[in-house]
Amino acid sequence: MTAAEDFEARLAQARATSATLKAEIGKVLVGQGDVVDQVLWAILAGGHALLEGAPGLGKTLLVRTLASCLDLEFSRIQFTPDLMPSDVTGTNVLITGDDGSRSFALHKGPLFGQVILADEINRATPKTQSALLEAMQEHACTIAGKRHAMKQPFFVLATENPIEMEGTYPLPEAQLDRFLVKVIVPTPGEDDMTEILARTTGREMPAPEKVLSQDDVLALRALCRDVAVAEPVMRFASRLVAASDPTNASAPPQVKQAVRFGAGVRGAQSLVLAAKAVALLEGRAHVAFADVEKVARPVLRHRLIRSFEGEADGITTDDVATTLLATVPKAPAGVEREAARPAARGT
Amino acid sequence: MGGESFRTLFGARARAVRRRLAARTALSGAAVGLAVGVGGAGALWALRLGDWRPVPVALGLVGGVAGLLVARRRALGDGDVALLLDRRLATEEVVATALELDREGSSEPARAVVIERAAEALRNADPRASVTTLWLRRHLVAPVAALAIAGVSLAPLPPAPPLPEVPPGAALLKIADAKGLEKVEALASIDARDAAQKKRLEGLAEEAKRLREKLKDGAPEREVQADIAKLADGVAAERLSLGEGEQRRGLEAAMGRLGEEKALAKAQRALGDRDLTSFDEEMERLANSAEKDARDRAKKALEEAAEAARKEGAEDVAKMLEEKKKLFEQLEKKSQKLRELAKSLEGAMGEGALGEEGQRALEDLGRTGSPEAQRKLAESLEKALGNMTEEQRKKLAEALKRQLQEQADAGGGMPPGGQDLKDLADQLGTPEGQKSLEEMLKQLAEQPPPGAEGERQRQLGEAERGLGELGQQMGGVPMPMPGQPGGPGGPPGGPGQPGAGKPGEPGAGGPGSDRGLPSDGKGTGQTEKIESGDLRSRAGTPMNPGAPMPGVVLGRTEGRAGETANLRGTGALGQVGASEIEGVTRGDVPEEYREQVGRYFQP
Repeated sequence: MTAAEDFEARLAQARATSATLKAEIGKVLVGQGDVVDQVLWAILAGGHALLEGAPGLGKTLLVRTLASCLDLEFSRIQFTPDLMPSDVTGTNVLITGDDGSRSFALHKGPLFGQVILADEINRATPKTQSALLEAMQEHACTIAGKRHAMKQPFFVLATENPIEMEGTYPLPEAQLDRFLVKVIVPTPGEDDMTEILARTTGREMPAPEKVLSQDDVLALRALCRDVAVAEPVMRFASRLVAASDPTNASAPPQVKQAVRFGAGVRGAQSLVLAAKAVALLEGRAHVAFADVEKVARPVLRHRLIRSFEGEADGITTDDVATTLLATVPKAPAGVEREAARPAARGT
Repeated sequence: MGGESFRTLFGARARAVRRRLAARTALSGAAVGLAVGVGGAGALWALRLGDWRPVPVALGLVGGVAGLLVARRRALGDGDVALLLDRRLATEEVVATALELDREGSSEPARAVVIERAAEALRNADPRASVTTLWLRRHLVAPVAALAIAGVSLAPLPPAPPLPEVPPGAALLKIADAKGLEKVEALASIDARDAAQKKRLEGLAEEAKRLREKLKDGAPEREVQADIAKLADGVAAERLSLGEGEQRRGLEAAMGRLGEEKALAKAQRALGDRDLTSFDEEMERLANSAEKDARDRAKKALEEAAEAARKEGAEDVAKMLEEKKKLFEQLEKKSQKLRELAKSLEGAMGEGALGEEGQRALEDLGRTGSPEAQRKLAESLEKALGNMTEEQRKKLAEALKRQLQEQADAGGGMPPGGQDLKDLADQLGTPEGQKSLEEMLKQLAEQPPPGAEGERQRQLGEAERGLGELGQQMGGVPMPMPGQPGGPGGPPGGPGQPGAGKPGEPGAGGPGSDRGLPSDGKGTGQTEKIESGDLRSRAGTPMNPGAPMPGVVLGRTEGRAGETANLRGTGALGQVGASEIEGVTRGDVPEEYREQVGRYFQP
């Protein structure tokens, strides 16, 4: 088997596996296909996802179902205002041995899982929220001066409720930046709602099967990294991020008006990685402009900090991302102009 | 397959894309060039530059070449072509990615798959889909512009617009033989009053020569007219220079003395105007007068006027007046001779011997002193004496002697020319006497020669007339003279300037001068009626055809106090002549302004 054939086979398998995973999730979670896709981008790209939605839309169910489909260690942390960092990371406890000797032993917290559900993350204090920072960025956790690596694969799926804002602690920018995508969970439509009712009000509850092992997930992640990205596509991602900075000359007027801080380098990296995941899910070995466009909103929406004027005018970060996609050119002007011309009638 | 295949496929597609782009840019360039060419063709047509008509077409070609050069300069690189192909073929940037991976020779796991997929995409793609249309909407300009250029180029050139009218006076004037200037040139040889005048006259002659040369070569009419006016000013200044400046007081004194004699009033005015021709005529009239007393008073007045002028330091005026006195005496002598002869003839041959015409001339001579009557009388006498017999001649001689004797006996002494007549009477019986009589009668019929100043004035007048002739030759309108047979018709229109058109094209003739006034052909000598509510003229002013009126309108000198502004003045307001006293009162100044005007001109 040639390298090409091997890669093609891996691509096909990845696509099939992804389809199976989505099907299993679909047994429990009705609708929310886009949400599932975006969560999968985060898993394949090795990132984390922040799910935002009103209570009862299935955020927690999605994560739980996903964890059920993956043969990985699942932890759930219910964030509350009194939650302490050590409650998340764990702590050294004094234990007495059989011989009466005493020593400290690490009592690992829920963070030491592989699929972490950080439920209602914005209800904990920033101090506790920041306990996740090191683990999310470096896949390691330092407790009492000792660094502990996380078991791979490791990813955090956090949820937050945008309407019950009382007693919440909005995530700081540094924390937000650690999430590859921010997934907005929409209210299901009539059909989906009816299906949900049908499935959840009976005696039997559907149970998903495990379809991906730990190695499968790691292999998918490796394959995702192998997806090729052409320089023009990377330049497009760079231009998008650069144009999101209101101090940049190429920023469109809306960005200059409504944005206080734009996305950074991590945002550009996230764009490309998420685009690779999209390409992989579609069975392609390369990234297209369309992939970047597709991931731009979920990747950028939590990285753009609106200005007071933007907030007052009700301009959302998704609006800004839409503007960026509409104004930032993908290719040189000559190519764009030529591409827009009609095809030759005869050669 | 793999890389080579992709490279080949991509190379072929890239060449096709670049060729198409280059062709389109060249077409765009040609369209722009031809569009510019339309403007150029229109401009060339409007400017009637038929020889330059291929230029607009060349502009189209140049535009095409320029388009090719621009296309070459802006040719898309491989990366851009790959992106373009991806966009055209909707291959989701597989070609761009494959090109990059292929170029880098990377060992990425995805390389082979991407390249293979890109090759497959290129292979399966419709070749027409990868290239865009050659023709753009703007290329329609090219054929339209080409047609327009052809149309404009084939259209006949518009007729040449009429040349702008030459500004008045700017037309070139060329006269090979300038008539009249020789009279000004002759001023160099006349007997000048002094060295300064000689120098001035020579200067005028020199100016006239230069003007003649200028006219030969051609010069703007305005310039020629200015030169003529300058010459005319100079000549008039010389003509009026007698008694000017320091000698003015003497002239005024002489005029004052002449003014004391009522019979010399006209002579005084003629002297004031420096019109010596009129002055001579007046003197001749007086000299011919039958009244001896009047003649004597006139002679005396002339003598005293000369003396008064000399006293005031006007030597030239004094000399001129003395010349005039001598001339007066000669004229007196002549007319007296004629009278005596006529009387003797009647005495010898009886009443009617002179004939009717001679008799009338004799009466006229006695009454008016007219030189014309004098001439006619002399002719009548010559005729009558020519028909006389020997016997009649003897009788005439005796009558003449007796008559002279009677006058001498009467205590009046020998009349002027009496001795000549006595000698003639002595010889009248001989053939020599007969011949002498005929000679004398011929001399009496002739005009006496003017004096030096008179001759000078005559020649200056000639020069002025010469300039008038030149003015007429240039197309000027001569002044119609009263009593002249037939008013002069307008001069012919000036010659058209040579056409400025090119050979083969209709040249526009220059505008002809239309200043000539049509003659009515009736010979009435009348000009058209002048529409004017208040027409004034100076009564008694002598007018010469083509010459400026004496003492009038030269316009470039200061006015003299007490005179109207168009009279030539001395420029010395501090000096007051006798005729200037009460000038404001006598002048054309309204009653209510006289006091202010008089105060203004108070010396």
